[in-house]
Amino acid sequence: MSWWMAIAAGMLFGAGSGALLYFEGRIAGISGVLAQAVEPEATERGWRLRFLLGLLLGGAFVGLVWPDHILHTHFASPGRLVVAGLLVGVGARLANGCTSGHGVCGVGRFSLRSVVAVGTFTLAGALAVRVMGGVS
Amino acid sequence: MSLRPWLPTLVGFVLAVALGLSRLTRPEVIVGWLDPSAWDPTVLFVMIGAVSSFALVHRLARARRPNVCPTPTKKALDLRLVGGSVIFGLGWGLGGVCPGPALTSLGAGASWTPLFVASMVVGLWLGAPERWRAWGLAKEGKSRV
Repeated sequence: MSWWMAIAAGMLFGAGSGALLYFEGRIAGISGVLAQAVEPEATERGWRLRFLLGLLLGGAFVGLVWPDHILHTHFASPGRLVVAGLLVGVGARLANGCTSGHGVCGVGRFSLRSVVAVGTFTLAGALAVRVMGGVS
Repeated sequence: MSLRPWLPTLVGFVLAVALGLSRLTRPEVIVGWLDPSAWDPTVLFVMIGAVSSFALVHRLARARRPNVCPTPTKKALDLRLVGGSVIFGLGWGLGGVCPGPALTSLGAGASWTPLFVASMVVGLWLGAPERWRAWGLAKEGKSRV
């Protein structure tokens, strides 16, 4: 992957998130959308489910067009995956956002909270890789 | 029939394609970003592209659609933000997966994704502040947690 291709893909991501803000007034924070979509007493579940459907369809498209861009068998054990998933979920809910909500939308509107969130989760991620090992 | 309700679907599709195209769906690319000894700058380049194009649209939206564009009011740097980000980051480094790539890989049928996404959904549910208050782990009203 060349660096300009990564920037172009990023711009596509930002443009997509931007379109949701411009036309719908919504923040494309993926953890937030998923969390609200599964809340038992959720209101406005409809657009969230339609957004998530789009992500899944996009994933199916990626799997067909660039099959080697998808990891089919994960290097982590099932136990480690469960812990990772739980931490990602709890943390994103507490912090009100993840790499998309804070990382792209929050930093993109120069929110101090989001800049702090991104700095913090990047350092914590580096610590986890350092202590637990990465791709094994 | 109006196609307008399907705009979020189109956006979701575009986001998944962007993540897949840039290979952020590969956990080793994420781990590479977090590992100074085998540094992979892909995440940085994707972030630069995404933040710059979103910032541009955000400016436009604020100027032209002030009634539509939300303005988040929360400003405080509290324990919940920092603690949550630490927890999120540890999970991110442990699996090399964040929510967007997890759902993209689920759509692509990767075998590990049902387990990861189910755990993540449980985590999202457990992390909700209203649940913490109901369990007495956080105070009612203005809470520090």
